[in-house]
Amino acid sequence: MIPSTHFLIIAAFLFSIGIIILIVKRNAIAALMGIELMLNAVNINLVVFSNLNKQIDGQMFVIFVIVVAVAEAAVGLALLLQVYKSYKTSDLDKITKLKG
Amino acid sequence: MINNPEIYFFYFFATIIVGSALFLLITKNVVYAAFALLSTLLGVAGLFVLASADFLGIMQIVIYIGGVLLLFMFAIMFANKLTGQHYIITEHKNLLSGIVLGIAVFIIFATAILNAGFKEQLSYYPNKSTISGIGIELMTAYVLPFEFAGVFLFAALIGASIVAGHLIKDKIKK
Repeated sequence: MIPSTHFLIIAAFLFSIGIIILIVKRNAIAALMGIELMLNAVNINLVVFSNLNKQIDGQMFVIFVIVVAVAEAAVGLALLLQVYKSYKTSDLDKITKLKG
Repeated sequence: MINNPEIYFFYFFATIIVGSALFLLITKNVVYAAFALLSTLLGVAGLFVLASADFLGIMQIVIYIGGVLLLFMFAIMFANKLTGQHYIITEHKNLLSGIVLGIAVFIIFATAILNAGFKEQLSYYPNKSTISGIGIELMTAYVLPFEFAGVFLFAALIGASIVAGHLIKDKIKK
């Protein structure tokens, strides 16, 4: 028997670390890692409330979130390699071709 | 005899998650960050198992650690090849605003959670599996999202391979 608040606090911690990584790190691959952390934090919450509700719907939602996360990582990293090729850098602040 | 053994496992996995997430935040080498992400995801898989979502824990390990992290490693490798550097070092900018925002979000979430007054405790069923329930739900109530997820993943992976494939073809021609 584990109190549910423990799980929720861990999920909130992971989410805020993900936000900090997304803002602080200037490498695009590292920013994608922050997004993965935030998705995982949300998944923890869904699993916890699915367990408290004694229903399996939350776990189904987690499965679809994982599918979307995988697609996002695959497409994002493929785009990133093209960005690397044309800009020769990974710094998100230096990719400014569309800036007015 | 320990009265409540799950909570010790919970603290074990929570320590893994907190430590490796902080290392992921602090480190500047992207390869180290990928390995820190690996151990964070392993800890999350442990939490899934402790919340008696065993199938999701296995899925987390197979998909995230087997698939997504491999993808990250390949991306880092190719990026190394394209830029010609041995290491990819990330810069840390906006340090103050990022940390202030992160701490503010954490405080908001923590006060909301602690004031919500969740008294419930998670029930852990060591002898019960969720696989049959998930399979039945996938084939009945969630069959449309399931098929849609299949088509979506197919389209996304073909798109990713085409976008990244040009790069590799150009590399071979040279």
